[in-house]
Amino acid sequence: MFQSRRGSNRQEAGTASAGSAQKAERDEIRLLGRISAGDMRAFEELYRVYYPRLMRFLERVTRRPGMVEEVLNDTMLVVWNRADGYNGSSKVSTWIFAIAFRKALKALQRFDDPVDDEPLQAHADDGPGPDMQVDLWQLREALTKALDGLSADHRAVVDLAYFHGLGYREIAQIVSCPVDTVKTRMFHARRKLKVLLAGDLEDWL
Amino acid sequence: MKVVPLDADVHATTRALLPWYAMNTLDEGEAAQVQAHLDACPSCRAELELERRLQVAQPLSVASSDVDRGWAGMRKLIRSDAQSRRRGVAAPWLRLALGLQFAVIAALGVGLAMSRAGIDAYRALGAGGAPVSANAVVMFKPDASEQEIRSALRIGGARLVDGPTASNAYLLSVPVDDHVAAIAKLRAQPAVSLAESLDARPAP
Repeated sequence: MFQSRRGSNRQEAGTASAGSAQKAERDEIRLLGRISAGDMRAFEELYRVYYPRLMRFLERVTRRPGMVEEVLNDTMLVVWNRADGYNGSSKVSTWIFAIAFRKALKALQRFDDPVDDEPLQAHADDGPGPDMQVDLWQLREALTKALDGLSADHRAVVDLAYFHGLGYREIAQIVSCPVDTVKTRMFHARRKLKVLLAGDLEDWL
Repeated sequence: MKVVPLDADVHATTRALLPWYAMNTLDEGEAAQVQAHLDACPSCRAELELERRLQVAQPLSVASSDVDRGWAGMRKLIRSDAQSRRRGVAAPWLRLALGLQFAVIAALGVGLAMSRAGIDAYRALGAGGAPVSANAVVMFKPDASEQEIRSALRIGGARLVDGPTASNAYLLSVPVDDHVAAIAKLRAQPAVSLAESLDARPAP
């Protein structure tokens, strides 16, 4: 039965991932404590953990590959300077992503011209890697373009939910809005994605 | 009273939660609610499959991802930020000098304000509501010089209140206590052709 088998697997997987997540959270809080004391090695450790996550998130929200690293480092500079401002009311990742989201929106305010897809095209011309299925590659390319059609607020919600695995409550904290707004944004974003991806999703299995 | 949600509400609620159900980020109660609805709703099961396909298909990344290069930039940024912070914080002696400078400026400002407090506000001759009321009127001879007029006023102890009027007269304020003598002194001046009291008392 769909329900019982899925429910059992979810429970086991959930227990295991919750334990490792709690340990990771404790580690990050300890790192923040050392960073607030000026420990550069602790900061580098945290930087290397968050670099790939923030790169993906900021690239998706800003749609400007050229500005991603600058916004990322601006974000982490706040972490370095204000580590003692973390009060434990949210997860460390929520605190950092919230800083990154605000920095991204601020950076986007400097640019109001439309974004072309030249970088995407240049990357697509490299062709898929040997292990990449062509259909999946095409879906990813279509998904990338479809996400670009969303607003920055909607992209942030979709990205945090789908590609960072965050719950809607945590997303609400990051983007500073009520949980119902997060659900509504996700609902509209999914509807638009389905329209923009018409055909691509059904083709890929 | 227990509120029983309508099927349509459950369907909409489940749809809203599907992305997080697919990511296994719902709490147990919410996940159970979604599971129960999925068993009964083929449409939502199909939607869940689409969710999973979307989530598997990570979007392409076009930004170069080099953590070592990023970290090198980060260290440089921290150094420049620290330098700018140091520049923003003045040395102790400079802070003391600035404090003294502000104190001197403040003292000068207070002194200036106090010295100005003793000076009567400027008032034009034609301004209404004169603080001193006229109690005499005087007419000067047409050939009287400005020096003679000033001399007559000084000798008579008079202050110019208003004028010239339409008849070319000037209103004066003379000492009330010595009103009669003041009028007499004015009349004695060669520049004065007429000096009269404006008091109700008859002129001397």
